[in-house]
Amino acid sequence: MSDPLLAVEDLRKTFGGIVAVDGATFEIESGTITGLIGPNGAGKTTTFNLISGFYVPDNGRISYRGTDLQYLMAPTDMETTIWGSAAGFSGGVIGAAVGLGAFSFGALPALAITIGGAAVGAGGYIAEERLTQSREQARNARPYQLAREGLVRTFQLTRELGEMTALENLMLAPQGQAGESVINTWFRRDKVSTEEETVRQRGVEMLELLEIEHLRDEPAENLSGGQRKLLELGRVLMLDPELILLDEPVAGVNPTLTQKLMDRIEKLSSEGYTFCIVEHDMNVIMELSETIIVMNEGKRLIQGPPEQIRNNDAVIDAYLGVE
Amino acid sequence: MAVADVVVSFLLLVSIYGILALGLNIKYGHTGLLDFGHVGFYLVGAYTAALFVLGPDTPGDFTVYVIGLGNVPLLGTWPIAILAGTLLAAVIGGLVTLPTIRLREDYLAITVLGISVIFQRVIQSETWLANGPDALRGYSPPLQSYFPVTGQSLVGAVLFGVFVAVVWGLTTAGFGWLCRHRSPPLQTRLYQFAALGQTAAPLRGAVLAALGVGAITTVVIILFGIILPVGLVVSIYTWTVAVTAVRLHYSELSRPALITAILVGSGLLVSLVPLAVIETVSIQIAVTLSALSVLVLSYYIAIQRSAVIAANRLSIIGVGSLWFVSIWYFVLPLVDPLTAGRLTGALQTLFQNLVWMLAFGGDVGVGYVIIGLGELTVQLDYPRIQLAGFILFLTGLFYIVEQTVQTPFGRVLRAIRNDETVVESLGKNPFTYKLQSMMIGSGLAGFAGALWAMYAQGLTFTTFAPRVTFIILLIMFVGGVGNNKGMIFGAALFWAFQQATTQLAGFFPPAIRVNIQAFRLVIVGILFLIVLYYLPEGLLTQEGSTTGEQRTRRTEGAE
Repeated sequence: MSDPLLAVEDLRKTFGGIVAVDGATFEIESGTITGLIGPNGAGKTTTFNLISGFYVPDNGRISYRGTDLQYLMAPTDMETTIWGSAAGFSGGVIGAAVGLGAFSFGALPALAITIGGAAVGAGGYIAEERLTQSREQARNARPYQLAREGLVRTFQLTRELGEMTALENLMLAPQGQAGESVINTWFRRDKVSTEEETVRQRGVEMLELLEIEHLRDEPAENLSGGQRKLLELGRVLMLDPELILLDEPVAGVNPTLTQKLMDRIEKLSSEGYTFCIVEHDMNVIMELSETIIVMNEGKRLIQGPPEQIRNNDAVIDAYLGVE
Repeated sequence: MAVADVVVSFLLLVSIYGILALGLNIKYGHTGLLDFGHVGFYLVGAYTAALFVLGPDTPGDFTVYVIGLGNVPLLGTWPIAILAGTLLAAVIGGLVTLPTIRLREDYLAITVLGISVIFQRVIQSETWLANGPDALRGYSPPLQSYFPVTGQSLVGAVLFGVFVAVVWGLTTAGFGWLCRHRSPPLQTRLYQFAALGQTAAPLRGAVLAALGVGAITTVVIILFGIILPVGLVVSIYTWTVAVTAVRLHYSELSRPALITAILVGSGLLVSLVPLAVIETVSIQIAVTLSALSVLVLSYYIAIQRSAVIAANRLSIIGVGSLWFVSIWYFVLPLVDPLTAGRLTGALQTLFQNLVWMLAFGGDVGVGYVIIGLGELTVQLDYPRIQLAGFILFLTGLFYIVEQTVQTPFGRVLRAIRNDETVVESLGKNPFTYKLQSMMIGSGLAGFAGALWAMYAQGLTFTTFAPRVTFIILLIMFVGGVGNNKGMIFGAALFWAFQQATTQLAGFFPPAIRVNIQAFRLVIVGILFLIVLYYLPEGLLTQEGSTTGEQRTRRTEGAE
């Protein structure tokens, strides 16, 4: 058995007095479909938020492809540069203002104060930066950096971009588009527009794949609940992800469409995508999943193949009930 | 002063506020960042530009400022000053953004409002910086010493050529844009003629045509020194294009709708007549207000009764206003000379308003004697070339902004306005985009500030009160949030209301004119309330999806 794609170890998260996740430990293998089930309040969605980087765990570790999420979510060079130059600039300006005010002492002291002020400003920032960085590394939620690594999620309540069309929703997703840099939109127009054409082509293909291409230019807020679920699935697929966390993908979707979605997920899984699905529809979970994780009261109750889960007494007690 | 001069100064303000609104629209309309401190960046741009062009501070006089770069070669010129104002406003916009951007929308708005007031207070109390509470003066706009231009010198001829080139280029670009969308054969032929045979894309055609026509103009003026015929030709060309634009825009209006529109426009005019005729103020106001209410009521009834009118109710008001404005521009100035029995005077006024490009009268100028018009003195004055420049800037910035938001970058901005969490879940850091959006928006405000410094030729801290931000917000909401064209439209509408209410105050006896002047703000407020009540999304709805399709208007039957 190879290393797991995602490993969760002793995960813990509390909100005030409520312990949402309490020492959950499990693994997700690459290329599989994993179901995550449990009664309401078992901590499934919180676990998703922790894995996708929207929350920072109080305790425990999550590793993705063997790397701790904390390192994947460390501030990027770009961010450090922005803050660094801003603080350096401010420090310099304050120093210069003080220096100019000191002109009455003569030019030389004024110059000295200017330079000194700038140095104090910039130096102060660098020290502060070092401190924050070590603090932030443990304590910052940067989900976008995980998404860039191929770890993406959908939301329990769909979050479509209502004022944008279905196609725009999809075209937003792909990573590293040249046109996302404003400098490129001004000076490299050709490159941006050729790339845009490719992205549009991919978006249209995705709409066709999900069979909602007739809604192409419809604002997403006009879509039905089920169509929004499809759109959201399409949006994360546009990212070329590796691990996809689906939060209740078929809730509110009609049976035919549910079947279509399940087929799509199975096909994608056979193409190498890894899925982790939270769902209350047991038929879907039992049919799709190769492994099922049952959570109760923030802990992992049991992990195993569907047959085993179906017949486990503890699971029946906590969640499934007697049929 | 001819009405053309009033319109020129009006358009100067429209360009400045249009650029300001474009900046705020990037922040709020596209990214959803509510910035109540937009005026702060306007201030930064204005004062930076002024300090770049001011000469070094002379000790002992009344003005004190930190540094004046006006005498430094290259640095102390207006282009560098505008650039510096823009860049510094953008950088300061970014710096202000860094600590505040993580706040929720309303807190962000209040924080930035506070920062803009701090900027204003810094100018007011730090006397060494930019003359403190007193006005910062002592610089002049670029090239002003060459004006007025009469075409008698080489420099004058070249400046005139540049002016004509800008006017011709802008008009031709607009004309080409019109013809590309709907192209009746006659207009297309006229366009090709105006664009010197260019059938290329509107922009390139316009630039080439501008260069060509500008060069021809310069040569003609150097050789013959005639500016009136040149001004006449170019003015008539701009009028033709304007009329064509209006006709194409409203080409689908039926005859009954057009007649209603003219009735509405004339009705408005008639209801204002008591102001000019009746002497007693109380009766004057009462009669006018009743006439106005009768007009509004009958239009309301007409909408109820007639489906045609109801379907076109906005366009009818549009055409009616244009009708009213043309009467105000061309006909009303003739009333005074005609009642005094001066036919030549009336014709002269008409001619002056037609040839809007040139200023008439004045001490310096070329004299012409024209049959039926008598003797006229003509020159090209400074406000007109300033206007050409400002409109060129406005158009250029509009084009850049439009190009910027119709790209993946603009798409991310709109996604942030919709739902930031989604943007995060899709691997894009909203923070960097919000930062860039604030920097671009603030940079535009800085640019507008530099233009204001040039226009006003003197800066006082009171100009940059938070009030300005709210005027720009108003312009943005009326024009249509998220629509760049709407920003220019909104700015024009705001200043038109301002102008109209000022003119209205002129009808009242001097004793109560002050009261009316104060009251006009109330009128402007009410007018905008009406607009926003009936069109909550603004006059032009948001457009500009990157999928190339325009969104359909959601308020049914609004146009």
